[in-house]
Amino acid sequence: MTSTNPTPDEARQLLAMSAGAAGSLRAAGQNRHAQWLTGLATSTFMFYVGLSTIPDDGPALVLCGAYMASCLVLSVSLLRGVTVTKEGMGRRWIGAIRGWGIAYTVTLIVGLTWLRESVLFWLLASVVVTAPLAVGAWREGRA
Amino acid sequence: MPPLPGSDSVGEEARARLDDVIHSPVRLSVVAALAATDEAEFAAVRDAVQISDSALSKAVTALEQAEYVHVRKGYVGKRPRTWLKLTPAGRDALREHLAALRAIAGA
Repeated sequence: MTSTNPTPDEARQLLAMSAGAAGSLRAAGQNRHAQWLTGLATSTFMFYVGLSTIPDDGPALVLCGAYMASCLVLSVSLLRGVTVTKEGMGRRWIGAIRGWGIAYTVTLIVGLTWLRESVLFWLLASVVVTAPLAVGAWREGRA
Repeated sequence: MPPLPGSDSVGEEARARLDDVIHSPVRLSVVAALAATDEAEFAAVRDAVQISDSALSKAVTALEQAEYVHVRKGYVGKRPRTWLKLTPAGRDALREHLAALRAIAGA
């Protein structure tokens, strides 16, 4: 089917073939970037919930270390060796990470400076900081 | 059965818009697959399009010469990898080609 004058049926077959190839390659990516965002959202949520229950700095630092270790494991296991990057992933990724970064920075500064022992603050902050990542994961999964 | 009045002109116009480079089914599949991604590894494209390494290499060479595809060489650990990315010109060419095919399919 290499005619330069395709019939309507041939054109339909070519269109179906191209759509199939696009779908196959998109699926081959296994949504790793969405999985990474979901993992980071979960780790971040647990980190903040943990901070709400740990008033002392020592154990909080241990929790922080565990959080960083989980981020590292996520990155190595999911991002290393990615074979397919969906169209627009960079835009969605940057949006999610930027939102998370801003919320993370602001809540940590506010919480550690003035509201260290406020359980309510850390629980609310856990939702605020996780939201950009969760939305990003959802958008990446749908792409 | 003779074509309906007007449909032949639609088909002729659409056929004139078909892209010579990506009209080949293999190249069309490769370009269409890459259009769904920002970048994809060679083996992933090969598996998605279901062709051999040599067939994909030939297609990529032709597409790269037409500046529709950008090829990047890299490593994952110590293993060499080849990454394929559709250029803006390639996306435009695909869009036009698919529009022409839709016009022909609907004719």
